[in-house]
Amino acid sequence: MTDKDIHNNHINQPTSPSPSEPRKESGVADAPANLIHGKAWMIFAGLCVLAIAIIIKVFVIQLFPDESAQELAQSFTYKVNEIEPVRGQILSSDGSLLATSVPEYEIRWDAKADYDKEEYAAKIDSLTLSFSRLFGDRSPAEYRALFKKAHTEGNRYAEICDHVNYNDLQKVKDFPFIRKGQYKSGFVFVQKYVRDQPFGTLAARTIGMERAEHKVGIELAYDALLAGKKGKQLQEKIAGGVWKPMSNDYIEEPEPGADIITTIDIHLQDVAHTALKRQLEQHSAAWGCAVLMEVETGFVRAIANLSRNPDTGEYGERLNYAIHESVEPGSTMKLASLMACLDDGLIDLDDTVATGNGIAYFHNKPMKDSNWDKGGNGTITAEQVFEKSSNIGTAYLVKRSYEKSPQKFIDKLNSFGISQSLQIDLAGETAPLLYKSIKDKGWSGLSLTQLAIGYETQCTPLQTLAFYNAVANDGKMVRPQFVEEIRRNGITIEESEPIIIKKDFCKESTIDKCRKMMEGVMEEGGTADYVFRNSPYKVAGKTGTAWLNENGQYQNSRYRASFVGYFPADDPKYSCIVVVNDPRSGVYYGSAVAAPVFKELADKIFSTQMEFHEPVVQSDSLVIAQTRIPVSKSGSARELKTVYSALNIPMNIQSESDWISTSSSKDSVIVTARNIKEGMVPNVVGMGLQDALYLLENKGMKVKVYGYGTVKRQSIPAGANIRSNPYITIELL
Amino acid sequence: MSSLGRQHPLANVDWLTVLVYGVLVIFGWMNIYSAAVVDTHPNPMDMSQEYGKQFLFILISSFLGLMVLYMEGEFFNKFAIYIYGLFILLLLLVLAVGTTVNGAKAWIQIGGFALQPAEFAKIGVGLMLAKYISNTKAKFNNWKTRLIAAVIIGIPALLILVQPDVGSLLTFVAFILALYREGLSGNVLIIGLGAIVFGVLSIISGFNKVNYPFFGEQSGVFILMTIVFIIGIVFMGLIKNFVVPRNRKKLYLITILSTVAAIGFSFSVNFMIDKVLAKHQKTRIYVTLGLEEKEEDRSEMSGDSETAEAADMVVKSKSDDPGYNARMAKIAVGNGGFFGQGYRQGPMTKNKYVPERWTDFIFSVISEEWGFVGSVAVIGLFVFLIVRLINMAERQRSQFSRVYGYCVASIFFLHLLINVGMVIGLAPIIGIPLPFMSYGGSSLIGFTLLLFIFLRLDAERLSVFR
Repeated sequence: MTDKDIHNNHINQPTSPSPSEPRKESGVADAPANLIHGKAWMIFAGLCVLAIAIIIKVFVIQLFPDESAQELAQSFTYKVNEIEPVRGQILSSDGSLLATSVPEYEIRWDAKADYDKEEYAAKIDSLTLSFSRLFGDRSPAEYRALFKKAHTEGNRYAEICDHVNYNDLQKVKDFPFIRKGQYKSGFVFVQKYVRDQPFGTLAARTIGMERAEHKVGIELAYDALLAGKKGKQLQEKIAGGVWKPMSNDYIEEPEPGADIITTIDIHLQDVAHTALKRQLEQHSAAWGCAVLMEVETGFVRAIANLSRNPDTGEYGERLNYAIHESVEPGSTMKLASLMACLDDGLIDLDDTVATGNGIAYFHNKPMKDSNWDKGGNGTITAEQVFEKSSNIGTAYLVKRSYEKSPQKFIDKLNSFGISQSLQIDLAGETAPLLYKSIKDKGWSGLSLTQLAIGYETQCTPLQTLAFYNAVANDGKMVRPQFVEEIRRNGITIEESEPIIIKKDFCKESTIDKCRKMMEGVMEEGGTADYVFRNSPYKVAGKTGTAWLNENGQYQNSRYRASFVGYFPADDPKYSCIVVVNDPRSGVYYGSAVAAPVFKELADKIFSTQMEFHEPVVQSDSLVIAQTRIPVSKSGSARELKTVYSALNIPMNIQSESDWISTSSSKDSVIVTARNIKEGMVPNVVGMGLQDALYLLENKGMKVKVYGYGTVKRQSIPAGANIRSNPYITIELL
Repeated sequence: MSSLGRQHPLANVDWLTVLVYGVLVIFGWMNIYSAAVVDTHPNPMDMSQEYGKQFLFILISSFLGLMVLYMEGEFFNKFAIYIYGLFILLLLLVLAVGTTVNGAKAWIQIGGFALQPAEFAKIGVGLMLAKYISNTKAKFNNWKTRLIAAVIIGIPALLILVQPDVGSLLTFVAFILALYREGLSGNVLIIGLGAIVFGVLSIISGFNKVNYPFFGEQSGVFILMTIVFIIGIVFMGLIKNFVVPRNRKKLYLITILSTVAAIGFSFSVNFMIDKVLAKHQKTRIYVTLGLEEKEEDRSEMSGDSETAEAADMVVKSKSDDPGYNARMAKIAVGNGGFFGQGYRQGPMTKNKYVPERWTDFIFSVISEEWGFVGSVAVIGLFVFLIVRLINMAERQRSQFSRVYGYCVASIFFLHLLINVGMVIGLAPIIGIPLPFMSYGGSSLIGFTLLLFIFLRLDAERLSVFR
């Protein structure tokens, strides 16, 4: 058959070309070809619609899997559960745990579980008694009522106890009835993690709190890192509504949170906390804070924020005053004021100023020096103005320098960087308040002199510290940092470097002058001359005593005492600020109220850190000459000889054996053998407990021990037959 | 009718289709390996494992496919009735000596391998239908033709229903599509589709129990029946008022008949579900329609929060969790995301959460490990193959070849639709394989023969006219 035949056969049937092969028409058909063709298209269209429907469904499932998975999970026994990773730990720089997650348990009971009803009836009394005894929060009858209620309600998930720690849980697991096992008793132990701060309230506010809302401190700032990444695992629901993994594999492995190694030194923190607390208690102050910072790096080694609980009168970490509380700095501002004058070359340290009798009037408003009632300071040098913290002196010096162009003063202060936030990692820093221009709201004729002595401006204690630290750090202002290192699974993923936020903010010569003034504060005639009088190290700093301003009113005889400085003055290592707010003891000067905390910290650092001490160089022979031969216990020959030779102590060996007794002579240890004979009680007098027990128990004796130290007496004398009485008592002294 | 001159037997074979076939088979094998691999048997050709056996099946299929290509297309036309008869015999045989797996007596055990005649029966039915239609120039506007076609499809379908293997049975619907192309009225399809929609409505309404006045709590399907009845009355009213009198009688009749049919249908659907279907089949249907969840919702809403929590805690074991397979498969698919978890990296697959994952649920493996990209690629290849087959069928001069081609395309289409549909939750869990990709000798060899017979017929399209 040929092509022609085909055409001839079907010549009278209307045909339509198929798209791919136009010449070959569709063949024999019963219905008209165009209809058939239409049907082919219908089938084709239907196919496409269904294929697209499938693809859309696949798309929805695959790209929005959570929704469908959740939808599925609603009421079924298998689902993909999110696995909470273990939250990272927060450690101090010396490796102590500051915050960690510890497991805690909820004890629940499935009243409808398939437990032994007779056993339950028999044991319920002793069970409830055990609960009551262990936790003591409810009487046995109350516990019993809980079970009864669960039973009548048919509750499959009744809560019996909450916040049970691991040790208690182990005890609970051994209670009557529960001992039978989870399935036979219907008990379910639900594990949760709670955040624990092993050091309690130490630096608590800075470490922060881990809660669902209103996290604070490092817990907040590093939340994303601490939290880790949730995993996914397929789990099935088992008795009592507990989800159990179907296998140990994860769909997505949870990534544990990173560990944050803070800059906090737990020992210094402890000192800061205790010293500050003592000062606050002693002076009945409202709140206080102490921050210790490493000069070069800006690492905060201790930060204590304590406030009085108005109800209980106890001091605790509640608010982070150091970074949050923006207050008028008062006298500590004088450093910036005089630094401005000095750096602009408008005054020098030995320029004099007449402060008169302690009271001066600016725009008819009086300004007093602290000793106005004792006749004031008279005419003093600029350096003395700072050392004595003379308000009038500072005000005159600033007025003299900048009266004609106050804007220059403001510009200069701004150029020191004290008007900018430090942008620390922790949330809650309050930005400093400082005039940007004399056109700013609030600027008046009085402002220049008020600003000079630390009013009409606000900053936080930490910001003040950062400024003083910059002076100690040769003009480099560094950002205070709270985190030194971030580790994940023990591997360092990030290490903090010092961050310099302002460099060369004044002339080198100005820095030197400022440091000289600050050192003068601790010297004769300075405001804190008595505080560090007997200290072996030199401190530079400034006291501050500012009037409290409440609701825009300065309060009579209510003050904020502060002390800020650094040490050692010659080679600054640490800077520190201490603020005590509203002391009510009648003493309110920074030197008396705040500086002692600084001193305690400095003492601690000085006494514990090697770098502050010259190494004592002595020759070996000298050491021996000075040292008597040590007294040693009797005992194992091998061990004693190892120790003696390691310490280069000469031995005078008189007789050898596995066990020896020693006695010290003038220049050597005399070693004599101690013979241990089979079947006889050995002589253990003069030995340490370890050796004595080893010897006696190896002989098969039962030993009773009293006291500590070396064996002084043994109840059975050496050489006696062991078999006659294996019970021996030794007394140590 | 004979071949036109001497040509090489492999000339004019549609190699593009062969290529698509090859890609699907190899990709399927890869995924079977991923789904079934055991650490102690890492060799993909290890004959003790599914993937090793599948490799053997691929070799056998390739050999048989090649053999078919070397045969005369005429053979299939001539022997269509004998081939059909042979497979009917096999289906009878399986009822006599078959072994029962998963509740269906569908397998004839021959040595280490099991043969599933239902997978081959489709070839026989396709050839037989093509033969009947092309030989008799059958017209589907008369009942006789329809009846004969129904008998050709019905005999094997009935034998499969007796096994019972509902999945394989359902694929026989494919032949109706082919018949539609050959002139079966579209109304049949529309009525069929309407029946499905109405049936689903009936099942849903029947699932809810309603408290009737006077009758107490009864199936909600009676409400549906009442609504249908009211709609019938309304239509009668409309006809009375808006239709010219001479047409009224006919329309009255249609309305009354269809109302009665609809009411009877919805009743019998629920009767089927309640009284005829096995419990697990019933729950599968409910799960697909999303009804099983609803039942729990209701129990939750009924109590206070504490007892609701307790109700939620009710322990279910895997065996009486009807939606388990469906859920695991859907989670696996959802787990794939856009690019997938990577070959042999799918946790749902690796951890053996998805049951039957190398056979009927192979698409969940592909989805999880190859993601949306892989899923679309596979669906795309199938759609391409089916469109290509339709196109090829349309270019046949011989009606025999065309009808057979449509049968082949429709069977692949239905398998794709139901298999992928069940994995992604669009269709109930019906155990039918994904052509070429699911593990299984009978299905791979069966589909290969089905396809290659058509490739042979197509290769001769220029030289034959049957």
